[in-house]
Amino acid sequence: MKNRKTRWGEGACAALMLLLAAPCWAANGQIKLGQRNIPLTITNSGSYVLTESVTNGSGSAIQVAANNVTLDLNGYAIKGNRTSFSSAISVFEGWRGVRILNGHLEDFGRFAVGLGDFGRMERITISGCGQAVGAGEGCLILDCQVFSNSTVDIGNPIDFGPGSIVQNVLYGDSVSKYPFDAIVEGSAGSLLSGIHVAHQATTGACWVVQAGAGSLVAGCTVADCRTRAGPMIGIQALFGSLVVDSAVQGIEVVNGSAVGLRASHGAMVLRCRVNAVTSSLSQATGLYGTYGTAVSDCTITDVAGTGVEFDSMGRVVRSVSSGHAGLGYEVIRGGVVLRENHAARTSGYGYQIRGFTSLLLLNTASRAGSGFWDFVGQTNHRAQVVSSPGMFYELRSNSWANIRY
Amino acid sequence: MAVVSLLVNQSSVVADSGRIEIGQKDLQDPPYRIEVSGSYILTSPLVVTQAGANAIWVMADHVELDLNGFTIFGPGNTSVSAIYQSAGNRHLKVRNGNIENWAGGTGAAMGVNAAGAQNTLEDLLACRSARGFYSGRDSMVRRCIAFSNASAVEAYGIRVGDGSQVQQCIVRKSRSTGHNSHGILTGAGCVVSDCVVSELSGAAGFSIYGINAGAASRLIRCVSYACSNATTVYGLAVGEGGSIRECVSTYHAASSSAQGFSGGNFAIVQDSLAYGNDVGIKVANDALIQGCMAAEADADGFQFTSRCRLENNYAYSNAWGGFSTAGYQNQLWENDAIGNYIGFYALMNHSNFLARNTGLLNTTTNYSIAAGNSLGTLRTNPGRDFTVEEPWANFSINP
Repeated sequence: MKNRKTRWGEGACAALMLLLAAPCWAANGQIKLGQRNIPLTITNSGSYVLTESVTNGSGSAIQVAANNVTLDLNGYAIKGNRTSFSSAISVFEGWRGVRILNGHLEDFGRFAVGLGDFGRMERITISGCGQAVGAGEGCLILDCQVFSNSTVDIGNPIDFGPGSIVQNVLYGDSVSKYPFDAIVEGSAGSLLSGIHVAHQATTGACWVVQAGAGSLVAGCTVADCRTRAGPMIGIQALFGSLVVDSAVQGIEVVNGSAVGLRASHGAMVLRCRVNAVTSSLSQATGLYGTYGTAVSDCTITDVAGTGVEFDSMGRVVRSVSSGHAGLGYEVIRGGVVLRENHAARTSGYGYQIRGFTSLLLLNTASRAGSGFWDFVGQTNHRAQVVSSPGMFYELRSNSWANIRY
Repeated sequence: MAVVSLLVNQSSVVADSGRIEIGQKDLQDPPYRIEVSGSYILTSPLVVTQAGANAIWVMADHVELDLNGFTIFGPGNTSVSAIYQSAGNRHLKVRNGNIENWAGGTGAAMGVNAAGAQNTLEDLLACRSARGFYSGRDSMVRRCIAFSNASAVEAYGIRVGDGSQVQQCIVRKSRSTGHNSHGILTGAGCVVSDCVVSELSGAAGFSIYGINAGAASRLIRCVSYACSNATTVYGLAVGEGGSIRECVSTYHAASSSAQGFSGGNFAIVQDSLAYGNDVGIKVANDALIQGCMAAEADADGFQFTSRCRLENNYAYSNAWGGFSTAGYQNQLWENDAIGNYIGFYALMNHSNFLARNTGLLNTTTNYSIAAGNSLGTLRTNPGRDFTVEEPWANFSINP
């Protein structure tokens, strides 16, 4: 949430430098901007276009203090020199409807874009910056790439307000000197689609992608992210969010806990994949559900801990949990339905059910190191386990059996 | 150039690109009339101060109008619409700009009123107007934002006619002060995908629809969030034969009833989530609900009328029934109800069918099913290592 909008005070000096050199008009009425106009504060609604790549040493290259500004980078770049307080484009607080498109932003130590409310950012490449973009409410961020950033302590690399759409955004090969909440943090009621975060290294606690309450996460990927001090979570879906067709591939925590995908109260996870989650402290979980969550048709593999861990009151159906250093499925406090799941190649139990009143039906397990089942809670319910039923087996008298083989 | 100028009814300039330029100088007696097919481009912001005048009136087919990043400002309460297309025209493309302050009190007041057909509206923003965008049948609206619009008559951020598509659009913080409010309103046979509607508000005695799609329309990957202040709220709604897939509808509130999802007869709702509404997912007759979740509703999680099939759904912590019907001949198959007031509720003697469901830790009872319905063998607290021969059994788990 931090730095979604630039504060007036931060840009006041630059604002006083209004239009050091007067821009000229293109034939089609757009205002042409070049190096001689930078730094610039835009105070009028209008359409602006870069006609060359420009550089700026410190402060903001372009500040916007107007509504309804279109800034077409026209394929050119705005470049900084990585000084601590530099930024490429910042919209002052209270202004909205700014559209930035079609260009490159490089080497700004503080942030690349402060977008304001109801802003749009499309086809922008950001590299070598601090924060990539802080956007307000109702923003549309499409088809952008963010690479090789070195995040400072001012905010999440990609941060946007409620009711926004962020789609087809690639974020990768970045490091962080300071801990932050999330790499991609969406506020409530947003759509996160086609976001790919890869090769991210940080030093502290980090949620790689976090969706605010009531959001939809569709087709997102988190790959090869690591931290020296956890916890780290690949994808976190807050209250009432839906995660579908997404994947976490490779979460590594040197000192602390690691979770591939975490679903908060009342969230639902569909057709997702989690693979290779490791923690040097053996505190790794592939998929964690708090309470009231639902998981179906997922695969969770090669976790240095538990594959699927549920707190209470949820359901897990038709999922695969395989190849873990710990348990296949674990229920902590009970009230969970597990139906038609498969556990395989686990060092610990295939299913460990603690607490009370969980129900297990039609599940299978194979090659579990500690045993196939461990019912710690005494009031749980489990259909009889049939062992290696063999060829052409029939279970007419036991239609709900769990099977080990 | 002179010939073209005459035809377009204004003394316009033709740019090097061949496009016809429109600037403020062309708007001394609005509207600017486009009577010839062609490509037009704004070269400045346009400001209309005259009451009841459009900025641009399109009276020809095959017109492309590039707003070129500029804004068309209206006169506020006395305005009609910034861009108006006659109903008999088609193939208008408007792109790349903003529309603001077209806030008149009549039904004609809105940002773009493309009353014709087969149009494209893209990369546009409309705010502080009565309504956002309207385009007739077989149109495409994409990457548009409508916000902070308010109307005394029926309100919508985006409205399209039959057979249209709406993609990657945002509608937020809009309202009607005396009628129904729609974030996105479509005719029949439309597709709405990757859209977000949030924080709409309305008026007492009227309804809010986050997205209200007509018969046989499809909603895919859409979000409706936190609409309130009306008598009824429908987060995402499709008419008869419509479908909803991979959508989220949450945190709606109303004085009477707020439904997360609403489906007409023959509707299909799949892989979707409702959370924090009055009713999570509600459908009429002959509908299919599959792979969905309804949680934390103030009343029922799933509510359905007759001849519906509900398969592999999950109702959690709803304040009345997890799955509830007063209808008949429904089929409930492999659903789970956990932590609701009542798990499965079919009060009437109406021949509903339930098999392979699970009720677990529901507050009063897991199953409240009247005689005359068909409920597969009910196995209550079967314990450890149980065997059940009956493949149609339902399970009931209590503390």
